[in-house]
Amino acid sequence: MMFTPDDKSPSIEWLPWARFNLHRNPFGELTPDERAELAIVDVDYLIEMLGDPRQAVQFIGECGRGKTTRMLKLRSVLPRASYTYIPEHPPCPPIVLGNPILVDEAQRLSRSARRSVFRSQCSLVFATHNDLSKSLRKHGYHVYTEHIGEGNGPELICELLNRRIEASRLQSGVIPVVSIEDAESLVAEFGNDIRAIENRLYLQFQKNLEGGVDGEM
Amino acid sequence: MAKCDLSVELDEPNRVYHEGEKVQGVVHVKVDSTVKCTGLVLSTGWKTHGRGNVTGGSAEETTVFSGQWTQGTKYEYRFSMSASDWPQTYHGQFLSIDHYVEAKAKIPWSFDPKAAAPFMVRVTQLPTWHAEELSQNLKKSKKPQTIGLLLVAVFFVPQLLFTGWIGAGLLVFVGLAATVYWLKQKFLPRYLLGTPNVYVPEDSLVPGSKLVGEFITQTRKTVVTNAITVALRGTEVCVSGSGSNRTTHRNVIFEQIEQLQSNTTLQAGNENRCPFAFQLPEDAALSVNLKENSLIWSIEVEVDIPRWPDWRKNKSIYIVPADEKRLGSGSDQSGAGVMMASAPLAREKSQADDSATENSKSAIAEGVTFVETVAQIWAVRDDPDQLEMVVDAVTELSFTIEAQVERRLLYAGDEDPHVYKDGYAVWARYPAPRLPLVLYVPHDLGDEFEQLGRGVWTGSGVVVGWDSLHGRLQIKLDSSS
Repeated sequence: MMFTPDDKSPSIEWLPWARFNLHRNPFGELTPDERAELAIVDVDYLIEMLGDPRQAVQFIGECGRGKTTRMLKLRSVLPRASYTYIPEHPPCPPIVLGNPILVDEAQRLSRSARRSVFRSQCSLVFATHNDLSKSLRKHGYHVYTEHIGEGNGPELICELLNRRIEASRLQSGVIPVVSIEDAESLVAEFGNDIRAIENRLYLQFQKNLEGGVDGEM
Repeated sequence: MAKCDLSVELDEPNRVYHEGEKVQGVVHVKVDSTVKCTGLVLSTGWKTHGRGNVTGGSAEETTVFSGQWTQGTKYEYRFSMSASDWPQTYHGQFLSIDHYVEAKAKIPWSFDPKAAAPFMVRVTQLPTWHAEELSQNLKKSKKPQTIGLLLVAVFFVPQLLFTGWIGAGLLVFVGLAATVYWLKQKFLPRYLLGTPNVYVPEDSLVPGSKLVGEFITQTRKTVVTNAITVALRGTEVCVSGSGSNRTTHRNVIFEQIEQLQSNTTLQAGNENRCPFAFQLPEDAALSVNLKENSLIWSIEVEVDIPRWPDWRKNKSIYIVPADEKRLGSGSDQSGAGVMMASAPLAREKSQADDSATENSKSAIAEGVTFVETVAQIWAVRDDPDQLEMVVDAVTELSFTIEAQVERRLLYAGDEDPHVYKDGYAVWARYPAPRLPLVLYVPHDLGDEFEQLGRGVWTGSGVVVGWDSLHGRLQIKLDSSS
């Protein structure tokens, strides 16, 4: 990654990231709204599908591949949607009626909650680790399954990392850039696990900040 | 789509602001075509960033403009807004806290453009509400853990036994593991050391001050120890994700270890005292606890006993702003240090709060309205203890309710006792202030709510509690039949 400090002297001396014209480490945690805003996912075809109340969409994939990001993006563009995250341990939380109903970690729905959701006659979007298509079809849903993570190639990774850096911009001027070569080497090391890549870059960024690096990492 | 560029410029970007001081500057707006803005909202507040889930708070919000911006014109809006009183600006490895002036333009049918400028805040005095919160945390941490164990026993043991031999086997295994742990960590070290304790006369300290304490024990037998050490640590603790993705990140920002004694013989029956002292750094970060982002200071005493389980004790200390100490004296080892440190302030607030609660109760007795109830709850919504008191005071009371319906719940949650048979739950808000509500709707009102859509409903209901997960007042509506 190229860390090129702004030519101008930093206007905010006390802010460590100002050296790179940033106001924070770009690879830290984001709010759900920021995650939706920065997501690079095409959801238009899903929105069209979800117009049918008997349509169910399920995102299947391992952790850190982008299931929740897709759910948050859908929630941000569909004002009538409801979003519920099902925690690992009971009790199952209340599920709000929406169009569509978005359920994250849907494989954890309790039996009674699952029954209520399947009988809702609303379009559904599930992020899940298990394939729930059989049960959905039994309740009359058309199921569209998307395996998340397969498309997380170097180009996409490069774009989304640079988008995160841009979102941490302090003011106009030069900011660090992730090159396609950087992205390729990260993909070679971490595969399609975006969360692992972000974690690595977070630590790398902090390390360079402390070490006073202002050149190429 | 029209492009709207916002930027926030502070008059003094490098100034150190103190709590409540006015931050001044100007917001610049530039649009490339004529655009309608329904509100240019400016706010001051703070946010965490780093490895933990983001949390934040606001200090002041104001709308400085609404109307039309004309193509090609540059607009400027001056502001003077208050900084938050807590927390202090902090930049660490995993946790950072920054204060911002944020500008947001509400543009219909478009993404709302935003801009922010950070400013530095140094807190000189612990806010009274925070002093109370810390003292409450200290009290809570003192509660015996046996309550938790009892609850586990009451709820899980019968369930496990129902599962037959597997459950019973699991129970025996868990019991054995707990016994081994207790023997190793608690019983055996204490068997030799008697009644070891760590005494810290003052557990709320300011940066640059001296932390003093003592390790005291009176052993039953003569014990030879390898070493007695004490460590002072400052640790960032951040939690990211939730559920199965939940990860706790820890980073030690300060560590100093002192060996109090080595190869010492502790004589049976004698009181052995090992005093210790640490000089806190002048720039020591203040203790903070911001939901899933904390900065924790602690001392840990360890007694290394040859061929025997070691004894360890961890004790929290609190680094508070420098001026805070002028407000009161320190504490004893009861752990009420923070409250004592700001005793006059805390007492003042406590008395005010007590009187507010008493007032609320007497007002209810005289027939408080729903409007007043909502206002009371709204005022204390960020203070869990006060909130609990107010909600307790109005629980089981009947009111004429006014609520704007938001969403119907498809599923009210496992074992929600308030849902009517054949009825359902609805999320709603009081119109102003927009206090979130859960309405439990009986079957016979179902059609009325169906036709109402997202309109305002008026009728009678009884307050039944508070949904702490979603921050909503729970109201059971009266059946019309």
